[in-house]
Parts: sequence; C-alpha cells; structure tokens
Amino acid sequence: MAMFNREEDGSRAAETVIGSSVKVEGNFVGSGNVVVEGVVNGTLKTAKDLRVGDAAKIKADVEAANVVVAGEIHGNVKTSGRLEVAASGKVLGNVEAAILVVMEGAIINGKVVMMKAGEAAAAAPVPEKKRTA
Amino acid sequence: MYYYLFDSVASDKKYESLMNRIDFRLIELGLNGRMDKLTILKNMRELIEAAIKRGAETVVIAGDDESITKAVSILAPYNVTLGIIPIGSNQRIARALGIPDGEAACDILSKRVVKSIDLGKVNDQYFLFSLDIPAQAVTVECDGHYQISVLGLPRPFSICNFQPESRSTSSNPEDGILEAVIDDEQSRGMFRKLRTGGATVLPLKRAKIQCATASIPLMLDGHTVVKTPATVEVAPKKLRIIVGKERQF
Repeated sequence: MAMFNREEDGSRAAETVIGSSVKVEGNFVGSGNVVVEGVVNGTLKTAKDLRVGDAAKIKADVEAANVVVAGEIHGNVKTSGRLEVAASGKVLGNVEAAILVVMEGAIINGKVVMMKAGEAAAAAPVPEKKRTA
Repeated sequence: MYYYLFDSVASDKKYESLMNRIDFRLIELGLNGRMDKLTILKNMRELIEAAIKRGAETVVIAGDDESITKAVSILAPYNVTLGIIPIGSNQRIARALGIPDGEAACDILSKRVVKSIDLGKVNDQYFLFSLDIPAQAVTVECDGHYQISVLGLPRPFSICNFQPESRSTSSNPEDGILEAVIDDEQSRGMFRKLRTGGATVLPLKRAKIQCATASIPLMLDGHTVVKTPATVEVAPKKLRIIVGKERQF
C-alpha cells in the first residue's frame, strides 16, 4: 500500500505508535502518521495517515488524511483521502471518504458518504485492488 | 571566558598523558581558562555556580556520561554554553554530539559549533535524555488531553527527549517534543534500542505522572531521582552546547 511504503521499507518510521499493550483514553490529536496496535478510547485525529492494526480496538471517532483499517473501529471515520478496510477490518460507524476500498470479508455497519473529488485535500494514489461485489 | 571542570575519573594515572596533551592543545588553541578538579571535598554544583558568578560563559566538562548529565541539570537555568571533553569509558553522549575522544575534542571546542537543544524538565530538575518510570501502576496524562496506561502487567517506560540510537524519526533534541516510549525489552538503560514493531512511541509536550497507591521514584538520565506526582515538560532550546560535525541530529 503506497501510503505506508515508506514505513514498511524502514526508511522512515511512523511518528506515533500505540503498541499492543497500551491504552490511550481521551482526545488524541497528532500531526504525523499514526499506527494503532492497542486500544484507543475517545477521539483520534491526525493531519497525516492512520493505520489500525489487526489487533487494535478503537472506540473513537477518527479523522485522518488516509486510513487503513485492519482492526476494529467503533465510531465514525472521516478521511479527505482514501479509506481502506482490510479483510480483518471492522468499522461500526459512519464513514466519509473520497476513495473507499473494502476487501472481501471486511465489515462496515453505518452510513457511507463519498466525498466529491474537489473536497479531497490529498488523495493517495490508487493501486489495483479487489473490490467487493 | 572558559571554565574547565575535570571529573574525578581524570585523576586516574592512566589518563595522565592524555591530560597533558589536552592541556597543551588547549593552550595551542588559545582556549585558556580556569581549571578545577572534582574531588570528594568539591561539589560540582558549587564549583560551576561559582565559575558562572565569576563570569564564565562556557563551562567545559571533562568526564563521562554521568558527569555530563549532572552538569546539564546544573547549567540549564543559566545562560552559558556547555562544552565536553570525553574522558573515561562511558561516552555515548559525546558520540551522539559528534565529539571525538581525547585532545581532538579540543578542536571541536575551538570550532565552536553551538546548538540550542531541548531539555526535559521534571519538577525543578532537567534531563538531557530520558526520565525512566519503573514498572508500577502509573497513569500518565499527556498534554491535558489524554491518558496513557499499560494493559496487563505494569511495564517500565520512559519519557524521552533524545534517543540517539533510536529509529524513531522524532528522536531529535531540537524538535520541541518529548516522547513517551514503552517497549518490550526487559533490560533498560539510558539508551535503549527501539524496535518499532513492539514499541509505543507517543509525542507530547507535557505529562503528569501519578501513582495511585504510593509515591514512586523516577530516574532522570540514570542518576537523579525525583518522586511522583511529577509534571514533565519539554524546555525548548534550553541548553546551548558545543557539538561536532558527526552528531546524530
């Protein structure tokens, strides 16, 4: 996934990492990339990208430039760019995105609103992906 | 005006020849100044504060990591510049600042590349690298907006200002940010290697640390202890320090 390529090749680490044994409660506002592997309750906002790991549990409204969800989000998700829900991902809340990618097996229970292209602040490039029927 | 304070390690016979070379090099470079040696009768804080009262603008510590971090905490409230001549075996601070061993450090003093770096401040004490919190049930409230806690068994963690061996891109003593770091390694020291796969890294500017059951000790830079409750905050560009070209930031 292009959004986290720089992180995966080790050339640049995420600026905020919430590990699997950590809980964050309250209103988290970041300015850099965020990776969540643990628990977040409250609200989570960042100006850059958010990745929710497959063991992560978020009970919060989430806002980021681009979002990849492989874990659970109980809350609304808002992104001006791309939202990708992986096969293990669950979003139990409303979703707003300019680009939406939902893998086979992913769950979204809520209203989906596609933002107009002109409203997207920074859309990530879209590689070829499977889409649900 | 320069003031040189030599740690007791410099009095060891094995450093006698090195000390003579350093003396000679400082004279060659025109960096003369008053010199003192630390002994059991002479306290670092008293010596440094007396030197500053006499007009010292640059305080040079000749010693190892422990003496340097102690000096950082003493110098932070003053408008003076810190220089370092590494002597002794624990020299990770000098490495991080790009300062070579021996008389070559005098050339770094002479080039006088000065950086204003952040320090961490906890209650009235300052730290250069990290505040270590033992494995106890603590809550850390960050920036007045959210709390961090550890799931399962308590785990030690740190509030870091500068981690020269870290792969975190936030490890920069000039960025005005501290980091709460919780990692999986059991053995801990002033410098830990982070594995971003298991570590938690949360940037913050201010944190309140409390333990519900008792007042627990927190370790600053591996040698100074403060007790909870404690308020940690970043002191941006608090300390001027002479650095080398090979520094890690």
